[in-house]
Amino acid sequence: MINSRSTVAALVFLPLLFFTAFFLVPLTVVATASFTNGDGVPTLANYARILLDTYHWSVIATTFRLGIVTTLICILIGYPLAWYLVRIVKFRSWRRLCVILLILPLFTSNIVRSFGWMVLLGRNGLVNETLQMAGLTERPLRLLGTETGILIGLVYILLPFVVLTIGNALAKIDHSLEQASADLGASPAATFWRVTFPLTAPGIAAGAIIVFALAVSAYVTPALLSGGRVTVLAVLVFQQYSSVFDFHYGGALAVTLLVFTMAIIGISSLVSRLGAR
Amino acid sequence: MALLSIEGVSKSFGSHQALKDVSLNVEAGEFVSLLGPSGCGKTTLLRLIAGFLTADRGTIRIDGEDITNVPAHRRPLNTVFQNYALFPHMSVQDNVAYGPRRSGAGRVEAAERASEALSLVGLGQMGDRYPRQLSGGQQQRVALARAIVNRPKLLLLDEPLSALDLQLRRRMQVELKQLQEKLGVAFVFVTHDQEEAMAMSDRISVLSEGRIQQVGNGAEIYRRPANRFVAEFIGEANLLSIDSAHGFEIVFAPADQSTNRLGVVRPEHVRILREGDTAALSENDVRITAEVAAVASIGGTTDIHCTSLGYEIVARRLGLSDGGFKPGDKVTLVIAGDDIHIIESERS
Amino acid sequence: MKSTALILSASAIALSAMAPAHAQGDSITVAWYGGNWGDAFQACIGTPFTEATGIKVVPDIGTSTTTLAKLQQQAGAPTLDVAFLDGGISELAEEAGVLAPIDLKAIPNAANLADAAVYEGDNGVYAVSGGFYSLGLTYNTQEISKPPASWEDLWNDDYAFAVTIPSPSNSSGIPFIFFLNQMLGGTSDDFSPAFEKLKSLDAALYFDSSGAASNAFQSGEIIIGAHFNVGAWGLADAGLPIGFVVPKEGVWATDARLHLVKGGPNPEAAAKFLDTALSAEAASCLAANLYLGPAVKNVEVPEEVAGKLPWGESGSVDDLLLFDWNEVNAKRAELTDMWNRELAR
Repeated sequence: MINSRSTVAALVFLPLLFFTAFFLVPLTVVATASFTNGDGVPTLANYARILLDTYHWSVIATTFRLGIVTTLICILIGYPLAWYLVRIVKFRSWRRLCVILLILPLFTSNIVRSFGWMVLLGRNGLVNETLQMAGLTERPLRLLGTETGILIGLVYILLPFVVLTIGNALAKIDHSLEQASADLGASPAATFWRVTFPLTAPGIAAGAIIVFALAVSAYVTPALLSGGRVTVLAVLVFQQYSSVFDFHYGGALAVTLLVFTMAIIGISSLVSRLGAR
Repeated sequence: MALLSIEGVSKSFGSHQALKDVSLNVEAGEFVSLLGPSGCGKTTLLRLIAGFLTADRGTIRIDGEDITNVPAHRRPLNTVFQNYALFPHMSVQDNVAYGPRRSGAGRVEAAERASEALSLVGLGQMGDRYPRQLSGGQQQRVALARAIVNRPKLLLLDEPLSALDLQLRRRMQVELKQLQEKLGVAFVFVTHDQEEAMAMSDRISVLSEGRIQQVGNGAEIYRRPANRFVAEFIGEANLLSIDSAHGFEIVFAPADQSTNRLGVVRPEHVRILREGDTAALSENDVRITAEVAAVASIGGTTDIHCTSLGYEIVARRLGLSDGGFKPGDKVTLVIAGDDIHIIESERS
Repeated sequence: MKSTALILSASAIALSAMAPAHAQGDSITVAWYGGNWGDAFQACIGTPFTEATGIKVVPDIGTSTTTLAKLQQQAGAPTLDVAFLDGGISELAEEAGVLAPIDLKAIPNAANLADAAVYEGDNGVYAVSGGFYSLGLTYNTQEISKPPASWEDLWNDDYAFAVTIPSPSNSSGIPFIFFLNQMLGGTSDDFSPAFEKLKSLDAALYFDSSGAASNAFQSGEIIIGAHFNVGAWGLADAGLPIGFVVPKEGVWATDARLHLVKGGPNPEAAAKFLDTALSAEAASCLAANLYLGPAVKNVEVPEEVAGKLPWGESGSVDDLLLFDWNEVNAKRAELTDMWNRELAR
């Protein structure tokens, strides 16, 4: 009895320790630095420097514009993809292969995948060559170093999360609910919008939160695909921590990113909850 | 003209033939049960009528109109699902108003009709709740209200009471029957529970292995089962091979001798007399000498298991008294000739 | 939110708690870089050192920045004996007080060091150079047949959107702004000449890591830009059509420096390690492997290698523009901010 209780205690304690050591401690270190100056004196100057400066607001706007558009595109592409995998694919082995293909990129380094996109999106890359061969453009399109390029990279990397969460929600829907809807006279479209879609909304929301949080905090993809020509908050944070060594200003930037992210997720879930009523 | 007319319908899933050449008519306002063991095809037949499955062969008509290939949402009928299939993201009121809204009613009208349907099933106050906040019996009533709110002429019910406990099921059987009669709607009611089917139905269609074995009212299929399956599935029966039958002069063959006819005798039709007691015999009675093997009292009846000619024959007495019979007693079993229902034996 | 530095410092805390105490005497721990740099250090310094002294070398792989973070975390009880740090980070380490003074007299090979290769602070010598590398003009020899001669060629219209220069996140980013500014007649108080000029540059990539630059040259996305001689010749050696020149305005250069860790467990062995690192053989080996310009005199290198050293075909260590990193570091935050506002948007 004592033995099993101590086992339970250990099972609870170890993850808690891990969480504390690798999440709370670093976060506290960052937050503390953001509220002090170089001499360790408490100050709000780091935040004033960020929030009283239109330049930073434009970076915040770029960051969250990329995050929101990435999330929307991921849902628009991910929903049909999840539908295909869950509802249309009949053969289990083919579905399994599709899922593996979908999540395989997650097992390779983000850097490798971003370099791959640099090759595809470049001046002489596959995308531009295809467009030019098809006669759609005369000169190569500028994709690298633009928000479009970052968007393409982020969508590619984050799409699996949406497909998996929406697919999971779709698979869990009791088929008889859709039959009941049809039975009550609803056309297939009405059944989708009034029954299927609302029931997958939690899956969409979960996927959207994951994608949005990862998109606004992404460093590698924007850094590589923007060629350093588009600045997002994570890039500013990285600069301060990696080369300028101003952990106070850098910490304040990191906390700003965190607070804005949580605020947007909070507001959107509040809005959707009110909308559902 | 029948309200629902099913003609020669077959359906296969891969190599498994779920329904074989099934035909059935249901009249307006009639309560028809589809009764059979699991896997007999009764649910498949219901889904074909509802439009969730498409028949491989045959036609289904409603009011004379061929609906065999009409999609589910355009069929003039409604369904109560086994697990109720209530929309979890909608209130009870919205669940019930869903049907009127889809068939073109305005918001206000749909709400009125939903309230009306909910009061009809005794849930007038529950409109604001969500399905997960209701008990199983209440969910059952919501499902019913949702299915009748559009006033269909035909309601399909897929084992709607199977998830409820015995007492609640009994009460719901009565309520369902009353509602059916009140609304004058025809029910096609899938069940594997013969008592439920007996208690509620105008007619019962007994299915086995994808075929309709017999259609008739409860008394008919109990008294005159069409074949061995029905005889054994409905109630309890002593099945005795018949050697010869001339009028009521019936001679049974021993159990190890199969003949081409079977006598079906219900246990309550077997009288049991002590050996030599001939006082109460009439000339139409068939007599069999037997030995008591076991005596068992169950509820309001007592079953006396006897052996004769290699059969185990059960005689059922009303009441708890075993009449003083003990295992080993020599007895005479007496069966009135017109209590022996003769069917063609499939075995020979 | 998830800056690499944050994760690194968190892991550094965790690792420092777990690192086993090294037995004294039979091994020393040396912090150096990963990849081909680390391999070359092992082959040119580590292995000969172990062969000569019997003391094992335990490499501790990391970038200069992570090594500095580690030194600061371990200031009380260091596990490192010797640290390789880039110019710039070296000055920060000295400022942080984690370095021990180097007694050049105890290191026989130090006598051969070039003047520019010895770094002195208030407490004496804190760093010696392990070899120089420069940021010169790198170009695609298939796209550009005539080797460029001037940094002005970056602004050639033919190369629009196929140009790269380092970003401030790269160690060469801020010095490159200093270099351009000086070339354009600016002063250390007025960087507007450099920024005005940079604003008119049609760059495709401001690279954060030299790997990103190499990759872009390799894919053909970039046909001309500022890149390290080490990376450029590495690409050429891999068979790619890449050339590297020292333009007429010169090149900015820096070095990989060796440092003794204050309170390191094996100071004597560490000094011996520095001696091996400053030997002509080691310098020659590093020149052949990485095209690192020797910091010691009298180093024989094959002609083929000589042309690829940081000062170009006909130069020497004296031709390199080596800025005072303290001055560069002092302007780092301000110039990074200016860069962000003027260019990266």
